[in-house]
This record gives sequence, structure tokens and C-alpha cells, in this order.
Amino acid sequence: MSELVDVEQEPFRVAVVGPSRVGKTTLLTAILSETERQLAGTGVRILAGETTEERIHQQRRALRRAIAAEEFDAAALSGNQTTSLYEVVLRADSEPGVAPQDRIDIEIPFSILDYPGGWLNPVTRNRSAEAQQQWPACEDHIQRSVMLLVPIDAAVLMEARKPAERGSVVDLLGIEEVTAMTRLWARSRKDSGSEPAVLVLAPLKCEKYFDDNGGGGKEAPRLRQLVQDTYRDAVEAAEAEAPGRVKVVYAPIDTYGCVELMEPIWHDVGGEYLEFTGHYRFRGRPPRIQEKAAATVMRELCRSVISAQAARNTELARAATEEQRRIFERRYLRKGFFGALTFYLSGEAWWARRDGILTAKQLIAAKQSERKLNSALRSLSTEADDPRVEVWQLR
Amino acid sequence: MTRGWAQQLDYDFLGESPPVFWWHPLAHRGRVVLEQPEIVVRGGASPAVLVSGVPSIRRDVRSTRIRYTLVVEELTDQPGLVRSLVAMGLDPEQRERFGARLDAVFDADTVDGMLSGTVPCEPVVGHLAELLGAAYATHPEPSAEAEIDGSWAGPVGGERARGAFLARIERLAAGEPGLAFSSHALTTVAGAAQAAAEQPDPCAILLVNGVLTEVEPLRAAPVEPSSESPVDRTQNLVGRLAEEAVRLFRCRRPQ
Repeated sequence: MSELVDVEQEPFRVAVVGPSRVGKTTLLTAILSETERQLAGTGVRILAGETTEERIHQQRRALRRAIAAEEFDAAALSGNQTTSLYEVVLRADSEPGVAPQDRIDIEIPFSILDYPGGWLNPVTRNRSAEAQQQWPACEDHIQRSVMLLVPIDAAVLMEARKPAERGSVVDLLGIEEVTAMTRLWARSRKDSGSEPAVLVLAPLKCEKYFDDNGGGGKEAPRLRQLVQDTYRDAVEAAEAEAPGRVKVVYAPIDTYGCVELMEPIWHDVGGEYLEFTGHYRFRGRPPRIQEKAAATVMRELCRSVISAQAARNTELARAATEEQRRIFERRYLRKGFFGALTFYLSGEAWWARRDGILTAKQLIAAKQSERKLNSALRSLSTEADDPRVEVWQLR
Repeated sequence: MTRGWAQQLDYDFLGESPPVFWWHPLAHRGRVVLEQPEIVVRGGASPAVLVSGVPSIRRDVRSTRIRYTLVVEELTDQPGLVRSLVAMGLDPEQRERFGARLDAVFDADTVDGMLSGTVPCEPVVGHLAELLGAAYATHPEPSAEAEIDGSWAGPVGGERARGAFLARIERLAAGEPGLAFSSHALTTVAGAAQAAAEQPDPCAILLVNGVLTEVEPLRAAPVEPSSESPVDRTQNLVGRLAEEAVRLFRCRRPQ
């Protein structure tokens, strides 16, 4: 019975693997904001759970205050102290004319795990009792994730010009640890049959290096090359562990779009590597938040869902006569990605939640919402990528 | 718990960690935000207090102000100290003062050394005991406010909520099982009710943000176990599905 869980609690998982202070919470905020804009008019919304929403709200509020003061304070953003599970849903609301008692909103849940960056390092992890206790759960989440999101501090990569600075990149970006985690994740993807596997390499704080979002930088090719060189081992590990299975997406993201690195400072404090600090400032008057390429993450998730759904439909059609008999049990079967996929996209989630007691009007409303959600998923997934974004071909 | 200057000297306990991270389920689900000034009090056989967001004057490599999270356990028969810690956690000025006292004992070099393993951590517990003894030679009087039974949520700025919170603290410190905590993440009664439902014992929750103006009791929706077996339920469900299909067909038939 240990294999049985409620599929309703099985969201689509994303794991974030990045060092301490790289800007993971800021990235999540940008992903939600840009996806929200792209969903405008589709009848589908991206919603965060109450606690996730409040964290994001607090961060947005701090940014708005900083914009009003025209003084960006990177130091105001504090690092995570423990693990945090961010819960997000794509929800299709019932059509406007539907009476409140007949409304059925259909949703697909995603959960994104963040944890203190320091835990990536096995030495740090072994020193921390909390990390040791919590790490198995983190690893489990990573292994069951359809997407591994690797945030990269672009400034660290791009501003390392002298040998000692370049040598420090490995430690500051946790390259060894990211490679090890990528290997672990890819291995689990291989073992999970035909479930999707998307590795997103996401340089953040890219505003200075691009000229397509209000800046004048011309260094996009150099950033691309540096990411390719620096994360080559991680990408190769993914390919070696799960040949032909992993889609590698390169997505340089502007999390603010209006904050630019002014002065990079490398500190030599006598350690094995240098520490890096950046001084940032707002650009534009007044500065305007304009995230770029952040929606790539949700788009890739939707693509995973849609492509897997297409493959699954054939199988489901074959089993159609058996399907109704299985509807209820499926709720209790642990089926990972595909169990959740069928459960949410076939509308079983709302059916099971209501124990089948629905009026005809509710049934119609539910089917409408289901169609809307599927259509929005398709629309998001077929939308063209931001020109910055590339899918890297392995081999 | 605090962090050091360098990027890799991330937040961790100085010295021995508590054997059980009893607050972790709350933090993991985002019910409390340990990066903010929060208080969590656990009752039962071994009362314990967590105060997070105690500010240090130290800053990390990115110039972000570092903070402390203080966890004090085994507070059986020490209701006065529990009261003092909660009073400190609720008052930004006291919190600031306590942070300065911690900084006086744990300066930047000491913290960096302890977190990187070059400075021994054994004295930490003794230092903290001394510090707590000096800071709280006298304790606040027990709250005379009326307690509110069961789980509830109220605004942190509300007089009644704060009074009831302190009254609950007395009961927790006396060994009654339960939790009392502040939350920078929960904002609604529904969210607080969900957080309370995740706990086996009653919760008193002070919401820092959100729309609450008064204390609201939190009642979890009753979950009644079904007497039907999964197979029966499936068959019943299929039957209901068929009925719904017939009704839907009738709805759509042209008259």
C-alpha cells in the first residue's frame, strides 16, 4: 500500500538547482508575472497558492518601493533559510454566464521546490543537521521533477575576466554540484519511462548584456558561449544518463528588465576563491519592470504536458472501454507524471473531487473549463519562443 | 542559526542543531517565513520557542543584512522565559536590542569561523544561556487576557488577538499541546484554517499581513471517512456518471 497515494496531490514538479543568492525567488516572481501577461484574454489564469502569492507580493512591493525611490537595493533581497515549496496552478475559470452554484474551475497544479543554495554542496550539507534531515525529500522531489531549472548568475560568468576570477566561477556557481544534481535527475528521468525531461539553463540578471529589452549590450553571443562551456559537463551528464531523452533549453532571463549591473567587485579574502558582489542600478526614467524570456519556463512545462498528452491519448483510446471502471481507482494510484496528466487533463480531478455528484449544468461548465484549459495549454505551448531562447541539440 | 559573510557560509546553526526541526513543516509549506520576523511556540511535554528575523549588524558579501533565528528548547517549568522570548519576538525594538547582544558575543570572525569549522562551537550554548540570563533577569507578568479555545487566527496588531495569543502562550508553556505562531505568509481565514488543519493540536495564529481585523475561529471542514469500499465507490460512481450522461442528453435534446 505504500505505493498508493492520492493523485490529486501529485502536482507536476519542477526542481530548482542553483547556488545560494542567485535570485531564485526573483526568478519565480518573473515567471509568474510574464506568464500571467501571456495568458491574458485566454480565460486561463496562473495563480499561486496563498503563501506563495504573499511571498511574491512582498517581493513585488519591495521592488515597487525601490522603483519609487529610484534606488535599487540588491541587498534588500534576503536568501532562503530553509526549503520552500512554491505552489502554482493554471486554472480555467467557468464561462462568465455560469451561475455561481454551477461553476467548476479546472486547474493543473505545479510545485516548485526551492532550498538553501548552500545545501547543494555536499560538504556544507554534511555539516548541517537540517540539510541532512531534509535532503532526502529534496532529492526525491528532484528525481520526480519533469523539469530541472538551473538559474545562473550571468554577472558572475560575464564579469570574470582575470584568471583568479574565472577560477572562482566554478565555486560561485556551484558547477560541480549542479552537474551532480543534473546527473541524478537525468538518471531518474531515464528510469521513468517516457515522462518528459526538460533541462533549462537560465542565466539571470542579463539586462546588461542584451540590446533587446531597453539596454545597449552586445554580449549575448559571449554569454551563450560561456554558458555552453561552463555547463558542458552538466549537459553531457544528462545526455549520458538519459540518451535522447533530455531537452536542453537555454533561456537567458531578465527578471526585472530595468536593473543593470554597474560595477562588478571581486573580493580576495584569502580563501580558495574570490567572492563576487555587483552594484546594480535602475535604468530608464521612470524604471519599468519588464521581464523577458521568463515565461519560457511555463511554456516548456505546458509543452511537456501537451506532448505527453498526445502520446497518451492513443493509449487511452485503446483502453476506453476499461476507463470508466478505473476512474475512481486511478485517483489512488501512484502513476507519477502520467497519472497526474490523465487525472487533471481528462477532467477526472473535478469529477473525483465532487464524488461524481454533478448537475447537468455543472457537467457542461466543467467540460467548457476543461476545453478552455486544454486550449490555453496548447496556445501557450505553440507560441513562438522569445528570440533569446534556444533549444540546444545534444551530440 | 545565522549565516556568514561569504556566499557559501549559508544559514546554519552555530554549534549543535536541535534534534528535531519541529518547525520545518510550517516553514516548508510557507506557513511561516523564517526570513522574516516570526515567532513559533510549541507546547507539550517540552515547550520550545523559535524567534526568527532577529537582525544582526553583520552583512553578507552582497551587503544583505544578516539575521539570526533563535531556537530555545526544553523550556519546561520556565514560563517566564517563554514569555520574555515571545515579548521580544513581538516587539521590533526588543528584537533589535537582542540582535545587538547576539552580535556582541558572535562577531563576524567568530561566526565565519564557526560556520567554516575553524572556530569551536562548544561555547555557543553556554554563551546563549548567559546572554538569556542577562537579558531576561526579570520576566513579564503572565497575560491576564482571556484565552480563546481551539484554533483561531487574528491580526497581529489587534489588541484582543495579541492578548489571546499571550494567554495561549501561557498554556503552551505549562505543557498544553499545540502551536502558536505569527505568519508573514498567511493572509486569509481560509489559509489559516488550512494551516491549522495540518496540525494535530490547536493553533493560535497571528497574521502580520492580510485582511483580518478580528479574531476568527478556525474550523477545519469535517472529513468523514466513507464506508464504501473503493470497488463499491467505483461502481456507484459509474452509475452516477451514467445518470448524469442521461440527464445531460435530456438537457440537450431539442424540444
